[in-house]
Order: sequence, then C-alpha cells, then structure tokens
Amino acid sequence: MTQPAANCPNCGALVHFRWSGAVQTTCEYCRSILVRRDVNLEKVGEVGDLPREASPIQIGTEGTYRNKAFQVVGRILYEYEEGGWNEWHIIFNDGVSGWLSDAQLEYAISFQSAPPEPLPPAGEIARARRFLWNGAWYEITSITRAHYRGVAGELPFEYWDKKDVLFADLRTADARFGTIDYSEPAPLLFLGEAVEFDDLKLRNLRPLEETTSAGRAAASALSCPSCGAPLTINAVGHTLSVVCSSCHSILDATDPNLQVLEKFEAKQLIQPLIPLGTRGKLYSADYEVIGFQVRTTDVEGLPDSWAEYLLFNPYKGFRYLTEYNGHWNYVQTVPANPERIQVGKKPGAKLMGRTYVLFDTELATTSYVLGEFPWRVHVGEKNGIKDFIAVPRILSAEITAQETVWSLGEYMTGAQVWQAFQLPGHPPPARGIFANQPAPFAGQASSMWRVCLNLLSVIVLLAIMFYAFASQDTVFQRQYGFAPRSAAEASFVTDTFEVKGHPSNVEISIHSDLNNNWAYFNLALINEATGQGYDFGREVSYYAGRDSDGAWSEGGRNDSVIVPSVAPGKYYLRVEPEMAKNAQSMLYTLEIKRSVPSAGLFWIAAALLLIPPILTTWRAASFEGKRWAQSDFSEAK
Amino acid sequence: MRHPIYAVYGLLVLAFVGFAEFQGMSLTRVNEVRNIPKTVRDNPGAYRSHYGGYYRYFGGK
Repeated sequence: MTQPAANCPNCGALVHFRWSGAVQTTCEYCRSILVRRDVNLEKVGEVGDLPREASPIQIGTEGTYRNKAFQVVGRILYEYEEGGWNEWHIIFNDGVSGWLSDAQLEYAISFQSAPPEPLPPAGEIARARRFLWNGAWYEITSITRAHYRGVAGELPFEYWDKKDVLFADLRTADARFGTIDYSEPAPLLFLGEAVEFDDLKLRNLRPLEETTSAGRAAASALSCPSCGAPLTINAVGHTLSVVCSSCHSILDATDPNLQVLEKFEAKQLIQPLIPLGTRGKLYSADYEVIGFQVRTTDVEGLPDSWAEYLLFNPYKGFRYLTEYNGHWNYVQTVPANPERIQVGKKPGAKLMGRTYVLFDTELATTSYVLGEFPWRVHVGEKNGIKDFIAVPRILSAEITAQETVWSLGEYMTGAQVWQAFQLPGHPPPARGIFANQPAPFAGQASSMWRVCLNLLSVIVLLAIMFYAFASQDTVFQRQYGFAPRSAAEASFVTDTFEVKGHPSNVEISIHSDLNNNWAYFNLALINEATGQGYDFGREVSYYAGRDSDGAWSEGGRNDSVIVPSVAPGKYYLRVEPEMAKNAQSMLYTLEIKRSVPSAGLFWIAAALLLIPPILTTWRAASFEGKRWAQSDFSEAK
Repeated sequence: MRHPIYAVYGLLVLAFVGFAEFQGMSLTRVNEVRNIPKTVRDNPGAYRSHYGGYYRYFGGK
C-alpha cells in the first residue's frame, strides 16, 4: 500500500505519512515540525535536541496489543523533576490511535476516552480522589507537573508549543490505568492498562548497543567531581543519582558536570553480598546489579537493617532484590493501586484477585547507598512502609509525601540467588523466619491429608471386606452346669475339636444364666498334639435390681475372649469355673469360633496413618506461630 | 504423588494390617504355656492355671 506523502515546505524533502489521520508530523531531513492545513503542510517550528535516548522504542517499532498489531508513528517526550517519560503515538492496523507510555521502562497503553462524568478542573484534583468509571474505581495516585521536552513523528493533534503540562495519573486495583491531561482548556481523559514489555511482542526496536553505547561511552569518561574517582553509569537516560564509592558523594546524574548533591558519612564500609556490576538471570531475563542501599528501622530502640539491590534490564526496566538475615525477595513495582480490605480482624489488600494480610508497619531510613538509582537518592530519607503478605509473596506500600508506591516481592532462597548470579561460595544461611517465607510443611499438610483420607478409605474397605468374608466357623459349642456347693472337682476338659485352615484367631465365648452373682472361669486352650496351651481367665458377673432411682443392672451374663494366631490343629479346653461357695448353681455354654473379625488392628492402622499428617500440620502451625510472632499482631507486642 | 514416602508408609501399614488380620494377630496377649502334660486330659484338677487360686467378689450396686 502506498503511503500518503507531501513535500516539506521548508526543505522540499518528501514527507511520508504512516497514518492518514496525522495532524502533525516532522520532517526527517530538516527536523521541521509540520502541521496539516487542509491539503498543505505548514512549518510551525523545529524539533529541538532531545536528550540521550534511553527508550528501546523508536518510531517504526511494531507490536501487538490484544491480538491487534500496531506501529509507533509519533512521540512526545516529557520531563519532570524525578525523570522523564515518552508517550509513543501508536496506530493499530484498523486505524485506531492510541498511546504507549514508557516511563523508566514501565509500559502502559491507553486511548483517549469520553469522560463518563465531567472531569474536575486542575484546581480540584488531589491524590486519593476516586472516580467510578466503567465499573472500576480509579484513584489518583500521582499528580505530575511535567515539562514538554519535544515531539517527533506523527501526532493526532497539534502539539509543539507546550511548556508545562499537568497530569493526574490514576490506577485501579486490577492494573487499569488512567490519565487526566490538563494540556488543553478542557481536560482530556486517557484510559488503558499497564502492560509487560514481553506481552507487546515489540519488533524493530532500537538496537541495544544504540540505547546504551552512547551513554556508556560518555559515562566511561565520568569521574567524581569531589574526589576524581572514575564512575560508571549503566542505566543511561534513567539514572538520576549516582554514588561515588570512594568518597560517598551522591551526584546528580542528569547534570553533565555531575553536581554533588550530598555527601554522607558512612560509619562503616558495607560490602554488598552481590557486587555491583554482577549480571544474572532471574525469571528468564538478564539483570545487572547497578545499585545497593541499606535501609534501617528502629525495633524497640535497636536498629535493624536490610539490603536492597537494584537490578536493571534495558528492556524490562528495574527490579529489586532484598535481603534480610539470609532471606531474599525478588521485587518489582506494581502498576496498580491495590484495594484496601479487611481480612478477619486484620487490615489487608487485594491485588489481581489475591488477598494479602497486613504483617507490619515500619518507618525505614535509607542509611547507606552505592551505585546508581533512577530516583533522587538521599541518605537519611525516611519512608513509611506497610508490608502485606500472601506467602510466598509480599506486597509493600512505600509511602512518601508525594505518592504511595506499591511493590510485589516473591520469596527466594539464598541458593537461588547465588545460582542466578553465579556467585562463588555459599550464601549466608537464613536466620529466623521471614514474613513471607514459605512454611516448609504448609503446602504438604493439606496434600498429605488428602493422601491420608485415601488410605483411611482403603482401611475402611479392608475392614468391611474382612467383616464380610471372615469365616467365623463354630468349632465347638456345648452347655455345662456348675454347682459350687458340690464337693466334686470343678475342673474338666472338653471334647477335642479341630481348628482348620490357616493360623487364625479363636474366640471363646461364655453365655451364662447368672443372676446377681459372679463366676470366674480359668480356661486353657490346649493343643492336643504339641501340648502348647493358652492360659487365661474370664470373669462373668451380672447384678440387677430396683431402688429409689428405678431399675438398674450391672455387668453381663456373657463374655468372650479372643486368642490370637492359633495354629491349625486339634485342641481341647480345660475349664475350671469358680463361684462363691454358697452361690446357686449356674448353667453356661461355651462356644468356640475361629477366624473372627477384630476391629482393633484397623483402629491401630488408622492411628498409624494419622500420625504423619498430624505431625506435619502441627509443624506448619508452629511455623506460622513463629512467623506472626514478629508481626504487628504479635501478642508480645 | 506428592508424598511418596508417606504413601509407601501407608501402603506398608495397609499390607501389615491385612496380613495381621488374616493371621488372626492381635495386640492383646494371652499367657502361652508350653509342654502341658497330656495327663491333664485325664486329671484336669492337677493342672493349675496361671489365673486360678484366688477368688473375686463383684458386689452389686
């Protein structure tokens, strides 16, 4: 398809339009800013020198958003005191115009939208003001007065003579994004969402060497204006502060002369566990450690510190590794404004469908810095921090007077960090339990209970099977009488009976007609062939009557005993009943059965199966108890 | 299977309980006596049971 084209009114060069709807473009040859007036192009200005390019995106970059291809056709560059950002004008293949913002390599795509309600004038906006638009609560998270720095390429409107522009950025809990743009008399609304670099599948990016080499070349020649020590800046175009490791001067990286912003006195030199400049691979992306800071809190009068390593990838931007007592977290900022909720009695936050519970609140002071930072770093700076946890993640809100920055961390072991950065030796051992450290048994307990439930089901089935199929053969049954007043020998032996089959238990039951009396039976089950016997005794007693409380009874007329693992063979029973000398005679029946089901073993097996999951659950609960003992909700606090 | 050791342990417990039940095993014990003389058949009163020789009285309520 032929692109529409026109001649530059300034130099005559052919100016091609990638998008037929463009109102403004720039001449690539003479850098004139050209505005369409009917069918003619009119020069309205010239593109000034833009600062060193740090974005990997350029005009002509192509990508995909929600399965729709787009191309970058224009650019507006803004600066503010904490850095700058690009608004890349993108055109989708169906002609729709949108914006891809790149703020320190954090990306968002937005579209100009009709405001669902009249937008507040600039004087009425404030942080934390909320708007219910399209079913979502948008909250103003930052208000930025930015300086228009320059334009390039094709834009959907005339935009070349601005100075300072006010923006209000809004976020939702599910990473939707909005901007109220006060550059026009009637504020404009742009709505969209934060996007990941990889998800955009960008092509035709600026070569990595181009984005870094110019900066590196310039940076390599840098030296500290205070002590003359050489300095290196890796995140050129992003870095705002660089710290001289020799004299601890904090320098303004945006100033060509590296103005000294402050100098801090380090009580002791701190050597980062991961040296600056170390490169490693985390979550499939390469990162370089470019900054290091120590932050300190006051715990009951004693300082407690943790370290933060700043990681940089020229496409994905900045990530952090935090380390406390050998516990590590991989952290990245969150392009959303989590919803504040109540989780039981504890405050919580909800982010992308996951619930986090407040763990602790602290005031952190930056106490030591090294390397470079994409913000104005300042030793002694104090920030309020709230940590919410959903193991193994930790959601942190860092609160300053200007904004609240949310970041999301995921627990890592020292070994994982050492492997990612190919560090020599071993990581320092983890001490204590960290807020979002996964409990070693937490996940195991529930799955172990599932396995236990299956095994218990098998036990129940096994018991049912044994009860259903146990032979319970009656091998002997006979009735006898006993007269205690008789002088005759009480003991006697029964006829021989045969216990057949495999070794099995034998149940000997006594059924008597006792009434308000007792009897004791000395019994011996004797193998006729081997002379091996099982000697045991059973008591049978039964008492009943009536008193002022009514009828009562105690004991029973019957009893039984199970002899375990009786080998097959011929047996007889020696019986010696005993009763009180003056007791009435009794009749009783002896019944002998083999292979009788018994529940005892099944109960024992069930108990054995329950021990491991109970122990695991107990250990997990104990771990959680120790974890929360360090929180704001500890009973000790 | 997330807990192979526990699963193997559980299966061993199941196998043991099945075998023990089949063999009529029990944790309850009865006094086992060896070499009871064959004369006990003719003279049962001559054999003194381990459990004999004392009286019990279980009174009513």
